[in-house]
Amino acid sequence: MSINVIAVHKTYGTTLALSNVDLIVKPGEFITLLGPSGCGKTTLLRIIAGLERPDSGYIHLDGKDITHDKANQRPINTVFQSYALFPHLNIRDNIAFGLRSRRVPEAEIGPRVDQAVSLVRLDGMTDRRTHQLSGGQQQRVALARALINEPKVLLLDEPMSALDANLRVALQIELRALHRRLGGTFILVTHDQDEALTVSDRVIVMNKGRIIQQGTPSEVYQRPTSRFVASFLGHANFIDAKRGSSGMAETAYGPLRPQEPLSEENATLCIRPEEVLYPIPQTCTNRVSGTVREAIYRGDHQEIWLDPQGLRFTTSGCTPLKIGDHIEVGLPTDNLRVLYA
Amino acid sequence: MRRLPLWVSFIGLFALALLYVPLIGVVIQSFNASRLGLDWKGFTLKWYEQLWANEVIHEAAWNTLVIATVSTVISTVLGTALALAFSRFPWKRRAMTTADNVLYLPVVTPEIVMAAALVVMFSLLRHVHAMFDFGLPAVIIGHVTFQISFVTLTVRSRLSGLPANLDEAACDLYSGGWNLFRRVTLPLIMPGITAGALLAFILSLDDFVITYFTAGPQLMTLPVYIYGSQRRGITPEIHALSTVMLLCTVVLVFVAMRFLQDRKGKAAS
Repeated sequence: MSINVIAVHKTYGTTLALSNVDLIVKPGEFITLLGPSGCGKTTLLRIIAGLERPDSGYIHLDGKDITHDKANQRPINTVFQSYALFPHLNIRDNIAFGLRSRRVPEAEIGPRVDQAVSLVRLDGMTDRRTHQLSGGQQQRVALARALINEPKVLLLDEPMSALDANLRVALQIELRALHRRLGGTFILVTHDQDEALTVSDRVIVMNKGRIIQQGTPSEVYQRPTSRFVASFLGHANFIDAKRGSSGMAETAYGPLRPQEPLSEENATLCIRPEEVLYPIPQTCTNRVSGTVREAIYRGDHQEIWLDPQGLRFTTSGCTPLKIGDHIEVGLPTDNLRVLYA
Repeated sequence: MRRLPLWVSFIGLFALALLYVPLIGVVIQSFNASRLGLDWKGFTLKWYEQLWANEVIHEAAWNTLVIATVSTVISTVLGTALALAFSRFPWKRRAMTTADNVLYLPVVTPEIVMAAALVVMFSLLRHVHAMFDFGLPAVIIGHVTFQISFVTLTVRSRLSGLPANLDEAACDLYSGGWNLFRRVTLPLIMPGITAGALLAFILSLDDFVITYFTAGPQLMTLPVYIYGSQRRGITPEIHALSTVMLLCTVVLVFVAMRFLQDRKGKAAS
C-alpha cells in the first residue's frame, strides 16, 4: 500500500527532528531510511506508526489521511528495536496479541499463529517464554507478531542492531526473501549502510531532519550528490578542486579531468577506493604518483594509503605493494564525480 | 578472601544478638511452663490453649484482621493508581523528584505526629459525618494514610523496571485504554501490587500508635490488647500472642520478598 508523507515537520523543544519531509512510498516497495543517529529517521518511522504526532504535515495511506488516527487504528505494524515482546506472555500469546485485540475468533487465531510461526521458522517453540529465546529468535517473534496482522505497511526500527554480525547478514537476506514472498510495503530504519544496500529497493538517506538523497542502492552508491552521502555509504576520496581551463580541474594532484566540467568555481572531486586504477592502463590520462604510506592485507585485495595526499585505494588481484613503494595510479574520468555540497 | 579481625566479627555477632535475642526470648517463654518465666519448667502449649479460649483476644484478632484487610484493599487500589499516574505524566525531572519526596515524606514522618494530626482531623470531621467518629472506620482511614506510600513506592519500582516500549507495542497491535491496561500493564505490575499489598497488610497488623489514637474507647485490636496487658503485667499468654503475630509477619514478609525478587528477575531478562 502506498504511503505519502507530506511536509512533515517535528521539533522536540528547540531540537529540530524533521524539517518539512516529503516522501512517497510506492505499494509493495521495500525502502530504507538510512542516516546517522539523530537524523530523524526513527522519528519519521514513529510518525508513520502513529506513535508520535507531527507538528505539521500529513500522512496519507492509499490516499486516505491518517495523520490523526491513533497507532491502534492504523493498519500498520512495527518491529521495535528492542523487540518489546511481552514478558508475561509465551510466544504463542505474543504472536496472537494483535488478533485478540481485534477480537478475531479463537478458532481462527490458532491456525493463523501456526502459519506465522512457520513463516519465521519458530515451530515447536510457541510455549516458551520470551526470555528463553536467543536474540535472533526474539527478533523472529517480533516479526511474526507484526506480520500475523497482515499489515498494509510493516515498519522495522533497526531490527538487527542487537544481533551479531553473522546473524545480521543471514536475517537481512531472509527479510528480503520474506518481502518478495509477502509483497507488502516495508519501511526499515537503519544506520548500517550495508544493511540498507542489502535489503532495500530504494534507499532514503537522511541527515539533520532532512532527506538528502534517495534512489536505488546502486544509484545512491554510484552517484552520490553530496559529500555526506558519498562518505556515509562506503568509503570515498575527496579532492578539493578549482575550475581550470577546457574542462579540467585544478587539484593538489595537479590538473585532473573529472566526469563533467565544474560549473562553479570550487568543488569537491570524489572517487571510491575500488575505482582507483592500479596498475595504471595506458589510456588513463588522470595520473597520480605517490609513495605507499600504509598497506593492509585484506585477503582478496590490498588496501593502500598513498602519500603525500593520503589517497586511499584498493588493489584488485594480487600485486603486492610494500610501504615506501613509489607508484603511479589512475583516477578514471568516468568515476571522478564532481560534488558541490 | 581475607578473614575479618576477631573484634569485628564479635561486634557483628553482638549486633545480631541485639536484634534477635529479645524475639527469641519471647518465643521461648511462650512455650515455658513457668508462669513467671524466671526458670524453665518444661515445654507446654497451655498458653496457646488459653489464648485460643480468650474471648477478648478473639474480638481483637477479628478487628485487627478487618482493619488490615479493608485498609489494604483501599490503599492498594489508591496506591497503584497513584504509581501509574506518576509514571504516565510527562513531568519534568524536577517535578518527578518532588513527587518522589512527597511519597517518601509519609514514610519517614514520625508516626506519633501522624497520629496526632489524624486526631485533630477526625475531631473536626466527626461534625461533618458520624463515620469520622473514633472507631473502626477512623482507624481504617488512618491506616490507609500510611499504607498508600508503601504501595505506591513498591509499584513504582516495578513500573520503572519494566522493559521500554511495551505500551507502544500493545498500542501498535491495536490495543488501547482499558484493554491495554488489563492485558499488559496490570499483569506486569501484579508482583509489585501483591508485594505492596502484603507490606501494607503487615504494617496494618502491627500498627499500634495510629490505632491507639483513633480507635476510641470501644475498639480493641491485638497490638492495643498487648499494650493494655503490659500494664496489668505481661503473662505467658501475651508471649504466645506475640509469637503468633511474629510468625504471621515473617511469613508475609517472606512471601512479599519472593514476589519482589523472583518475578522481577524473570521480567527483566
